[in-house]
Amino acid sequence: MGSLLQSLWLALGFQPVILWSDILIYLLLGCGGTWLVFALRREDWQVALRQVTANRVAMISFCILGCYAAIGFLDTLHFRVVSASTPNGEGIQSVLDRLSAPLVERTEKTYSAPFATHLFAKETMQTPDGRQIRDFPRLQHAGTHLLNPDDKWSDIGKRLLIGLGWGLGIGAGLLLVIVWLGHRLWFGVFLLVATLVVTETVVLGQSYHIFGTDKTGQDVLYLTLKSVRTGLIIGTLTTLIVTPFAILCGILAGYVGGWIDDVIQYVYSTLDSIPEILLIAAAMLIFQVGLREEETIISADKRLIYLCVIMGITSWTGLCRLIRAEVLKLREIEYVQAADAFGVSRGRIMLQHLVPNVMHIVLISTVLRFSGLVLAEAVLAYVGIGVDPSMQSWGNMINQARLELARDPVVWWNLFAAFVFMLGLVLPANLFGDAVRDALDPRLRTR
Amino acid sequence: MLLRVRDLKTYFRIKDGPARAVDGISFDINEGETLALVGESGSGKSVTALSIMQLLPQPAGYYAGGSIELQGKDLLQLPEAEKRKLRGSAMAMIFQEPMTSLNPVLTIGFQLLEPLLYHQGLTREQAYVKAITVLGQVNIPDPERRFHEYPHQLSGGMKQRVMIAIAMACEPKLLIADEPTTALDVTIQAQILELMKELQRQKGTAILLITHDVGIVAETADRVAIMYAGRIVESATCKQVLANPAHPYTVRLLQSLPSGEQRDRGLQTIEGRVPPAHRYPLGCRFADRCHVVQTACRTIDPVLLPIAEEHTAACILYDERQQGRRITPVEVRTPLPPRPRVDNLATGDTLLRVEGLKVHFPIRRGILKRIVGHVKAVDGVDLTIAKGKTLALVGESGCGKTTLGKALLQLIRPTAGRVVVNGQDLTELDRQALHPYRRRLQIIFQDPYSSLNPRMMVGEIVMEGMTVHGIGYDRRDREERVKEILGQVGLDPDVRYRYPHEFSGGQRQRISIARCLAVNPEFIVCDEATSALDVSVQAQILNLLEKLQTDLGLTYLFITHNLGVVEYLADEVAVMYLGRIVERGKTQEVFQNPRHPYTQALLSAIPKVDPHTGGEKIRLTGDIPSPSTPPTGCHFHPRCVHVMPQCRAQYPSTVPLSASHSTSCFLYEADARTVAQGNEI
Repeated sequence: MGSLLQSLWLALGFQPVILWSDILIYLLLGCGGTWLVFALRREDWQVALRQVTANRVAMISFCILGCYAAIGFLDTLHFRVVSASTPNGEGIQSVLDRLSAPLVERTEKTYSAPFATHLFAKETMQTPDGRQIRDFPRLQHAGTHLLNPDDKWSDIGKRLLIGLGWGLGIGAGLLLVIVWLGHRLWFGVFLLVATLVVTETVVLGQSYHIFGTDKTGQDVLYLTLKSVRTGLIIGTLTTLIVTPFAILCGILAGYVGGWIDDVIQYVYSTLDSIPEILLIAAAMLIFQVGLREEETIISADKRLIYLCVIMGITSWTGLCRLIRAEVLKLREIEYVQAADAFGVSRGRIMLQHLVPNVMHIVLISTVLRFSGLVLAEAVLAYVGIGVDPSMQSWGNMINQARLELARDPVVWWNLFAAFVFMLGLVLPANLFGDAVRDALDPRLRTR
Repeated sequence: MLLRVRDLKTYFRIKDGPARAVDGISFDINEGETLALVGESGSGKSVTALSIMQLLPQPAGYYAGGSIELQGKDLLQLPEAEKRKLRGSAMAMIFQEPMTSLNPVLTIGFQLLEPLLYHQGLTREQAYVKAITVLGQVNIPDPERRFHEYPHQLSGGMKQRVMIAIAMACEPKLLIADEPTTALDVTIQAQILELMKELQRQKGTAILLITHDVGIVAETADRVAIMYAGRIVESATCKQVLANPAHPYTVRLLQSLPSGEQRDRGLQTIEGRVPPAHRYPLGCRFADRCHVVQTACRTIDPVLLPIAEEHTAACILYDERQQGRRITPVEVRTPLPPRPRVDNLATGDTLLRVEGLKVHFPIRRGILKRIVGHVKAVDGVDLTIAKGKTLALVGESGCGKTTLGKALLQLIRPTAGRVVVNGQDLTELDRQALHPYRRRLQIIFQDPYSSLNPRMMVGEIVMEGMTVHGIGYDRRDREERVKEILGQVGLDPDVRYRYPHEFSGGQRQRISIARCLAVNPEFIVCDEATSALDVSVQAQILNLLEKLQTDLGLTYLFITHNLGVVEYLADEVAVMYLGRIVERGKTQEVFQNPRHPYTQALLSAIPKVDPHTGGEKIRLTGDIPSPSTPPTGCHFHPRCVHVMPQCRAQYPSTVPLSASHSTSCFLYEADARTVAQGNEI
């Protein structure tokens, strides 16, 4: 059996690899999909969906989030290249790695600014006539086609035009198709803009480092693209670990009360009284001791999941506290008492009357937490207890950039790229969360 | 002329165009006069008050025209600084909710000094002296001590007095009182109204009184303006309006007031609701709800026309130019014909019996949460409720009537005593054993806005109880029954797929009733079920409850502080004071011959529409004591006019006055003994 598979992989040229975080992502997608199918059978959810789809800002946000999700998903499909010479396969790669291979391979020596033709640091070089001079050397993989580096800007302009031509060509085609299919105009316009961004990036990215390179000479654009998956996993996974737990504890504490309330309150007060960073640091250090020697990417992946769990454990208290307070208010409200007067069971009261009425809090705090977690990752990376240093993340990028901010001239592009991509994720997430919350609240629903 | 309002138009910017909250009203107030502005919610009364005070919510509200002249100065033309000088010194306002109109983190004194220092330029010492005087004028006992207290240390009635003190501190010429007593109990309401009248007599202040309570109008107002959909539809002296209402709306409004006289008639209702302020109909705004509507009403927007001296009404019935006048004012005023009131009293079966019921809430203090005392919300109540009848439970807020209602249904577990249904004591049963009884005993709550889950569709809400109790054998069967019940309470079956927020207060209360009916109950506790509704809607709900009682043989426990409703609806009355029942009997007995001093005071404190029938007013002093430290002896003795030494020593036993009428008061113990002796002989 094993050998059969091996020969199959050999024939295909690759062997799929599934990491732990991949499993979680597939599970998440599966659950989300199933839930969506069930939810859409209900009429009120359909109404909510219609309201969200009618909201242009929400839908554009959704599309942007979709782009992030697509990048993250491509980065989740892992495999090893298998060939006759290496039957056990080479290092693990993802589809994203393969797609951005041109970026990966074009590693410089060290920092270079966006669209630069020269390295950021001076080096001692030998001129053809044997003199030694100290100057900025030309980059090995950017602007190499230029005979005279001073022509850079006109070359960039030319390439921009080419990209524009391609983008407009493909984009306008898509736009026409969309309009012809009877979809909304904004979706076509969004596609047009998205296509433009992609074509410009491809055209320019072939011969320049759009976001520059980092200390080890890696292309920053590649690093930010790889960071998308890390950010998404930290944001969603942690939130999804926290939310059900916080809802359950909050509602139990608020509604059932008594010793259950005492225990839950005791637990979260204790957790809250320990500095969060300290707790995470301690937990991460304990984890590191238990880590076996494995391939870097596998251990880094495990560390990521573990980080999510720990951040989840430390951040459920706020939501739980909020929900408990809300439920204390709701349990005295008359529709809950009316349900009690019908002899509706406690479980059903919690599920039917309490959960839907605290969902607005859950949604708001989920969206805020998602943003907060993506940002918190940066802080943890700074303290050295974030994701594995070998794993690309915005936190690690910011942490590296921090050390170079004092340089003159400043090395700003690491930070800038991370900032742009984080903003691009967090802002649409907030906008979309708002729209969903409004749509789920029947009081705000427009008919 | 103190205040002259001419063609005032106050609009609000909303999505669907301007909402014409106040749409061209004119009125005058003379010095020392009280004008009452009466109308249902949404008629524009409060916006009128805010417009005069120049306190419109900005930037949504704006003046679309007209003028407001106070002492000859047009307020709309004044700059903001001038307006601020007038506010507080020339005109002042009292709001409805005393709990929220005082700042909880500042002392009473601080809030009282503010206007004095700002408007009158007094020194701190002078202002302090003045403040103490004003507090004394509004009958606050021990003003020096109260001056340094915070709002939470005062009762609701005291807070409203403080509000009046703040408003009157600078001796304004005009006082605007927006529902000043709606949040207060009747005995406290009587005190506050008395106080306002007294201050008016002393200082000659003009009062613009905004209210929906016709009784208050009858007792305090000189002139009345009836508002409907942003317009004044009738304006006259108070006596004229009450004796000869002219506009069909006024007529119906007065006829929909529940009272003992209406008992054998049923209540007149006004169908429908006030049209929304951004979509007024073309002709008369009342046309859709009017009982004497004519075709001309749909096209002609009526203006105020004089129909007698100082009496104007906006209705084409009084328009000479309208030839199609076929209905006389007398016809407009025709009341409902008497109808036989079905009396199911004959069965005489007891549905529910309460014996020695007590609900005590422990007060816990300190780290160990030791019990340091009890709030005795219900403190030994005996009741029997007969099948198919309505028992009204009457009392002021804090007397424990709601707690009693919930304790009957075991929503709050009683501390002691028995609640017996069919020979079964409910207090002994655990959650599971209680389940079958849940179906038979139901409750309707006061607030129609919080009693329906906003996240559930109406159909789900009504069906929930049926699912829990396995009524109907499948979903489709239940669905059919839901439709039927919605029809029964006067709603369209299609409302099943809508959410509660889309309905008005009255419709929501109908949904609440439908939810109860779905499980075929025998007994329904109506906890202030109509208190949050407008009079015309209240009449609809009361009629519905009555019809359901005759059709389904329901038994009601009607918890309320509205004595008019009691007199109209109830078969029996129990009066509650501080956790105990002080008097009970048949409705007629208690209303015509109240025996307990508290009942007497309560009945005389209700503002009467016809002031001559009231007889001498009994004014209670002081507030209701806290149920955690009730007075020794008879709970009522600190406020009682007939207090005797023995009242302070022990609680009086229940004295039977007739077969159905009994009270707990020492005044009648001697009578009872003679009755008992007479029986022996």
